[in-house]
Amino acid sequence: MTRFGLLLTSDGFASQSVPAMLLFAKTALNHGHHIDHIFLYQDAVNCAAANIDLPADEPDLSAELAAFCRRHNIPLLFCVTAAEKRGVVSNTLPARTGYTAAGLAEFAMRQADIDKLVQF
Amino acid sequence: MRNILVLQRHSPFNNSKGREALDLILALAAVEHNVSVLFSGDAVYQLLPTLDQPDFKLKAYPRSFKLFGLYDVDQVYVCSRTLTERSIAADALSITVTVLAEDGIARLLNEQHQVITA
Repeated sequence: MTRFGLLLTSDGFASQSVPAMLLFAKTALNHGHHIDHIFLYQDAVNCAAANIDLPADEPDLSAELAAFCRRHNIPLLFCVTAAEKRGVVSNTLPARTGYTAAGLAEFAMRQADIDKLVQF
Repeated sequence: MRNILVLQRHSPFNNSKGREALDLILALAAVEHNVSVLFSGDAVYQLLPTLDQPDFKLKAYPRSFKLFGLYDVDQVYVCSRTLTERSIAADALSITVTVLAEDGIARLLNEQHQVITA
């Protein structure tokens, strides 16, 4: 069994990074591996925006990611500083349900408890 | 404690990748990981000295690379081919770095537990 950490840094709306990460995570769990955390940094923090409003024919990947993490009890963390810089969250604007604010220090500390980090 | 390499691959002022990678490097070093940094491709432009230009409206964050010493980040590398291709001399860079050829980069990558790309 391998303990994975997943790091998402690319914009979830501008690339295939979120579906690729979900596919990887589902496959890893199916093979008996462990996902310790998913951490969103750089432009990926846009996924944590609460007011995402998509047309009906566009898949809501950010919601899918949150649902997957809730189902499998995987901490879904985003860098609060990167999110605040982009106006994604603030004192009066909470993150999307399922996304937990964290600092880079928490990401750094979690690196000690995993075998492999995979970045998308 | 893990061996973690942060790959800087982007020019300094066209996106926020280099700046946010710096924050990440310092955060990793602050919790006592063995952090290395490799500048390759257009990221070497992050290492050129920044002048005081009041009309330049972006934060000159590369000056903060001087904090590497304070955080005990002393494994700072730059790709030799990158320097050659861009006609940049290692002594023109704003901080002291170790120049690595391909075989050195391969060894560096092989020593890591984690590699993070900016």
